Amino acid sequence: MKFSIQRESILKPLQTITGVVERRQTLPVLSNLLLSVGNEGLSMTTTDLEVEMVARVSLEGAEAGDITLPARKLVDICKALPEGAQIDIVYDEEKERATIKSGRSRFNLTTLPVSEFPNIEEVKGVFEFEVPQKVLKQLIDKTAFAMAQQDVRYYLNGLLLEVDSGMIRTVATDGHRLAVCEHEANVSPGEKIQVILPRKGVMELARLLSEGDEPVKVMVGNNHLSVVLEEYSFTSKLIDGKFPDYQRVIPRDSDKDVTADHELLRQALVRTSILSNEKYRGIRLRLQDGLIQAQANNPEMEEAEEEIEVQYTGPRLEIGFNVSYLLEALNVIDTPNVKLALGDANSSCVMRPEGQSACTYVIMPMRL
Amino acid sequence: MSDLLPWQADTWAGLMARARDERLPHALLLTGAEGIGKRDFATRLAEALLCLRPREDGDACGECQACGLLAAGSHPDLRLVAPPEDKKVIPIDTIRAAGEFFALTSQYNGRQVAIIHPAEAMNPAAANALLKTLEEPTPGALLMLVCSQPSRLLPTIRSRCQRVAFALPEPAQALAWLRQRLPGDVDAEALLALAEGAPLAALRLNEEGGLAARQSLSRQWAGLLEGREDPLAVAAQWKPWGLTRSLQWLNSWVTDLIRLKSAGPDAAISNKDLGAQLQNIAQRLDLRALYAFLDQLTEYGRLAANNLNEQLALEDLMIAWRRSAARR
Repeated sequence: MKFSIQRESILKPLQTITGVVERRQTLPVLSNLLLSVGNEGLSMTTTDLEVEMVARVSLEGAEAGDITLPARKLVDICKALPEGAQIDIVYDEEKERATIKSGRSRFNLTTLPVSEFPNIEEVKGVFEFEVPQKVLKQLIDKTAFAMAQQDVRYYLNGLLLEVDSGMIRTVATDGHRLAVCEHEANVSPGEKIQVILPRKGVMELARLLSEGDEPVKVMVGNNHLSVVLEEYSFTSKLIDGKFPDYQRVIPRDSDKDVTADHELLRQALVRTSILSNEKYRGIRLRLQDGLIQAQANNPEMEEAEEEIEVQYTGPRLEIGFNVSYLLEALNVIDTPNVKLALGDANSSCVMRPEGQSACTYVIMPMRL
Repeated sequence: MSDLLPWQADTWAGLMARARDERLPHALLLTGAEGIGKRDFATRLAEALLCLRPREDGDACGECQACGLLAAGSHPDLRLVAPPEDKKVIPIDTIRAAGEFFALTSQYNGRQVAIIHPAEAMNPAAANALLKTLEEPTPGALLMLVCSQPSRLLPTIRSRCQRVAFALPEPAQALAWLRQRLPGDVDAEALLALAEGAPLAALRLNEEGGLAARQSLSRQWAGLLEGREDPLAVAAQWKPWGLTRSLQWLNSWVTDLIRLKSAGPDAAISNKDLGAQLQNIAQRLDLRALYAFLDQLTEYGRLAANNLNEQLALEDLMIAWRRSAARR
């Protein structure tokens, strides 16, 4: 194998895909990346056995072949070379070593057999659809924060992707709060498809997607989810489990509708949260006509109080929440006003951006 | 891929037949004495199950991508669970990580296999964490617990696994297998006896120079009784062999001594090659002292599962042994 490439054309794709390469590796081959040169150009693959990333770069006048190289070292070398440098990579089959040459620099790297590299050859049992890149990114960004972390209910440590006729939906919950976001799409699966993408895959995918309008191809398999962009492919394993029936968690009988200025509410809660208990993050909200009083105190008996003007008429209500959950939901809402629907002190709060029904956030109350 | 050990042929055929009918359980408990090839068996079964193009008889093909990855140790659907380096216990984090491994889907053919070896090394927290995985297996998952002391496992774990028991191979079969792999001048019979009938253990013992070491250790051990040797120096000689094995050898010697003492010089003993020496010792000691020492060995065997200072334990044993001579 032999090819030459401009530093800038290889560096960015390299940096994008080496995020999945973990620093501490039990299997040596996982710290390597797979380089294959074929008719379509150069493709580079990294994996951590959970997520696989592929970057494709076009090449001219290259000699075909496959090798694996230490990923981080390759990135570091490319990064340290001067701007605009020409990089030549040649593989010596006899010595099983690869040489990187650029100007007067020369690097000799060890390789590992390609057969040891566990790449995914094909995704089986596929349902395919296309969506604009930014739609997928939005769906992830608006819900991923609510995923559980290292919960024993392993099916919560990921993001549910649901493909319904004419609609794709993402759902995340950690058992205390829930985020649902949906978007219309030109899809028509025979029956509803549900897959759970593990946390690490969600993070990597969000990093890879941008706010562009270009369509991406999403392939949902039995064991994998694949997202194909123009220059990159992303494939992740799925979580083998059943996601809870999230529809039942969304309260339908909330009778107290409150509309608040998004920024005003957010800032007031940020200030109040400073003096809330650091562990439990409890905050007390007192709802009355036209006003929410927020109050928090900590074990040192320090106290914070805020009054927030809202549009509300109805009976009074006192209810406690984990303020972090309220704030994290508010952080992903981008409308000027936000709607809260409350029932009694024991029922969950439903938060929605005003004028949009695409996203719904459900937050369980706390007994203070 | 490793060859099938001759004494495992029947068990292998049985499991292969069940695999063909898709009737394998989600968890197997492989039990039997140490050194008879349980882990090799588990690895072989994992290879056969994960192979993408298994042969007619169910064996792995050795050529497909999966087999290549298995040979390289980088197959994503096989997880080997063992105590971390320099540790004797499998901690809870390792077991939880294995649980997460099963929570994700398989990469290749829908199967996922984990081998826990040695399963009795799991600490109580780890064992309890494993229950969760054992109780809610995901489709296509197979957990193999390799264990030479199943009594040390939680009963709740034992009851959730199907037991595959490996008996000691017939001595004739084991000897034939062993002779093929040993240089001609090695006494295969003595070696097998020393390894308590376990052929793989016997082979390992030979590589480590077990027979010669045992000769010199037993001489020194006898010397202790006569006051010729220093117990601490003798203990230092034992140390490289590890406490577990030292206990095993001492146990077998003391048991032989008890036999000689109770049934006379013609008693059937397992350390035939040390017969004269043992005979000698037997004359010097009384039965009570021997049983007292045996009790002490058993107690240390129980303690060895915990974090025991091996050197102190061996020194204590040697001093106790020297005292038994005085007790007469």
